[in-house]
Amino acid sequence: MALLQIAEPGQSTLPHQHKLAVGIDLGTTNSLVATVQSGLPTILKDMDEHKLIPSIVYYGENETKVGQEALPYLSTDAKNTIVSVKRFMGHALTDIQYRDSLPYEFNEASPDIQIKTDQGYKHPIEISSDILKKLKETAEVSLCGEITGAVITVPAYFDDAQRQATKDAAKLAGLHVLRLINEPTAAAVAYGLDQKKEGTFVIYDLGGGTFDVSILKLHKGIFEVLATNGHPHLGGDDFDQAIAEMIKKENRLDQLSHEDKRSLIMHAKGLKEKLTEHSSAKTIIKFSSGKEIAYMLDKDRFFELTHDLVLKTIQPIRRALSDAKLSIESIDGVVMVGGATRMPHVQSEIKTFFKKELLNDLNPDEVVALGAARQAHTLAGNKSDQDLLLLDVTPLSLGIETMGGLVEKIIHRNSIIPIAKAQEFTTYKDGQTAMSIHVLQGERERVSDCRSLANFTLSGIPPMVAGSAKIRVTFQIDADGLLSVSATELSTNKETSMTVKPSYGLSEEQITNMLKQSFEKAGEDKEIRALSEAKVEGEQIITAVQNALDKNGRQLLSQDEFENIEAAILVLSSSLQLNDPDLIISHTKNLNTLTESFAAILMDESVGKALKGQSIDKVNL
Amino acid sequence: MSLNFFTLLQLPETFVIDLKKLDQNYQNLQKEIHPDRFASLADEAKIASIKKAAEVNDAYQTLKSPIRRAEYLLHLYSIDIHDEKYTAVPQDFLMQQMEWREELETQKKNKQALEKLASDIQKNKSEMLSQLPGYFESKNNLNSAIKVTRELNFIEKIEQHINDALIEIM
Repeated sequence: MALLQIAEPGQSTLPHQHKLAVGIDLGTTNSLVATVQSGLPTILKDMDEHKLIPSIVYYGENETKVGQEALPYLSTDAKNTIVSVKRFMGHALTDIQYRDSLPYEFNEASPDIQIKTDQGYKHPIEISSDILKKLKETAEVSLCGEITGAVITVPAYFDDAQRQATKDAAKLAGLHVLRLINEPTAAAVAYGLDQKKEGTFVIYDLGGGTFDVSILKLHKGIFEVLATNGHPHLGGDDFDQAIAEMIKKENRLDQLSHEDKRSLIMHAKGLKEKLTEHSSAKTIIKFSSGKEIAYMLDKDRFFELTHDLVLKTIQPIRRALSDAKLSIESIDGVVMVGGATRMPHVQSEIKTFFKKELLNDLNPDEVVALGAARQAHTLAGNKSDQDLLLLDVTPLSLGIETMGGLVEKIIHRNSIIPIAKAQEFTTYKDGQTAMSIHVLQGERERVSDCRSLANFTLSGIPPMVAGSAKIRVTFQIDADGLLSVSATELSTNKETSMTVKPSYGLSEEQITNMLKQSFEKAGEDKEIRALSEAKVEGEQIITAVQNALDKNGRQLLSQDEFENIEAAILVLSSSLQLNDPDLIISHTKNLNTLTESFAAILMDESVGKALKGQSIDKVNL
Repeated sequence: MSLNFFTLLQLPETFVIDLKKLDQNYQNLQKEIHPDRFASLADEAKIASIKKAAEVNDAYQTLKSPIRRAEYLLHLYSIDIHDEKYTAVPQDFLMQQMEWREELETQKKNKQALEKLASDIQKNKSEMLSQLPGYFESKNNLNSAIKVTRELNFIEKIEQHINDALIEIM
């Protein structure tokens, strides 16, 4: 743990020049990267002037291609060309539905999803990281500089495993994640700041593969999420699928190759997009057998076919309204986000439901990345939007398994994050030194109906008579929506150690290995990179600690504490001269530990300051 | 250091609070301590801020809901309403509960009946909530405060179930 420097309003946390920070919308079908330039958020284009980068990765024997470059392989080499990988993030192999319709070969021996390609097995986290690398590269070429940090957006309805997987992918791509933010919240930031909207808004976000609805209160730079809900697997892709299925059925196309299936889906997508502007659409599909089908689809037929998909979005809206304790009449505006909201029947259905004109001022494909760029700019410490504050919520309840396979909720859905809740447990056997805790996420009462997040084994409990040990377990969800758990035995005040077995995703070790492999492949020198990272972190901490010491260290610390910290700074700064990353890391850790209590004191100071009303004037403006 | 929720949000320790002031004080605090203020530092450096922000969020959400606020006030008076000694529920309230539950079960698919039930319960709830300030005013009537707070807990649950049923059929 480290010392915190409390930044004065209007002053960045570190005295540095402008930092390149980006917002990334890592979408199911397309991804975008944006940054703030001269005060305005802008989508960064790739070398061919594309803003949308298809979330497609092709793994050829000797080459990896991402985005536009991977497109041609979709219908020639389906097995090695991965699309919509976002749908696999944070899932196990057994979670995948419609496996038969997918062109991939999976590793059946692994509970994780691993797709067999000409480059070997690929984990969804690796595939996502390849997309992120492409975005990073696009941004760095466009901005002529290194990216210091990124805000990555995730569907608001993503659970812990999916969020963790996204963060791991960023780590693997060498991106420093400033924050994961929810897609509808990012869209609200773009609307709130660029369009100067105030009031209570519904953000309706229908993307390629996910649906989110969030209700936010926008007021003087504060974005307060009142409730969120959604559907984890519902998006534009499903509309394409519905059209493709219909064409297949009507033309009795039973035995299609994977390449033909892909091509059919792409034609279906083309028809859908044409129907946004036209009342009917036509296409000619050529199959590998040489067979050709001319197909025509009109608007009414398409709307009828997919009407129930649109209706599936209504129930989450009702739930969000109910959780926010709001009626339709109290909503000031409905913002449409995501390419799939271009479909006319989606627009009309939602307009009818809310009895309101919809807000479409900002491009629904770009608005999430633009909002993320705003947040990244602020978080990186570039002065702007000083009063921008996002107060988001956790989309799903968190609980633990109790007797009889039931779930006891500990943190309720739509609680403002960060949030921490403690629960006390006791031993049921004499001399018991370990116990296990099963953590779940979801709204249902039975363990089998919720998502298993992790199994924790608490060990190192001092042996006592049954029922006399009191173990307090604290479940904390941070501002990224990620869970962490800690445990203390109360009678001895001993921190119990725990081993965590996440139900999905990669272990720390697997990530390290993948990182190593990717360095080797890229011909990068791992040592040099580790050294430069250690140095940057060491320098950052010295600056932060020194500033805080100078400011009020003498008042808040005892003579001993003060001198110990000063000594640790000296040791760390001299180790920065030596080219030994391990040494630097160990001295950084040492300084962190020493300043732990100082950080807490400073935080309380900060609370005291706010209580005295020093910053109230700012709000009353 | 953990502060009393009322102290933390700079409000008098009473059941009746100024909700506007609660919102404003909460937002002022978050502007100072939210982890977003410390995002450019290393992960470890944010922990103190996350802890504090979590505490402030907990305080805010507790005081914002009148039922949670009543529970918290009682907790400050060393009363845990979930303790076994308070589990006895008056006969008439028990009967009322059972009636409501039965109505919910039998009318699960009937929108009108459910809406009527919800509005009946809402009336009950408002009336009970309006009693609480009096019970807390003189601490002598804490037993009534305990009773009403416990009953409101039941009502909150059944309201949730009716809401779920309504969403299901719409």
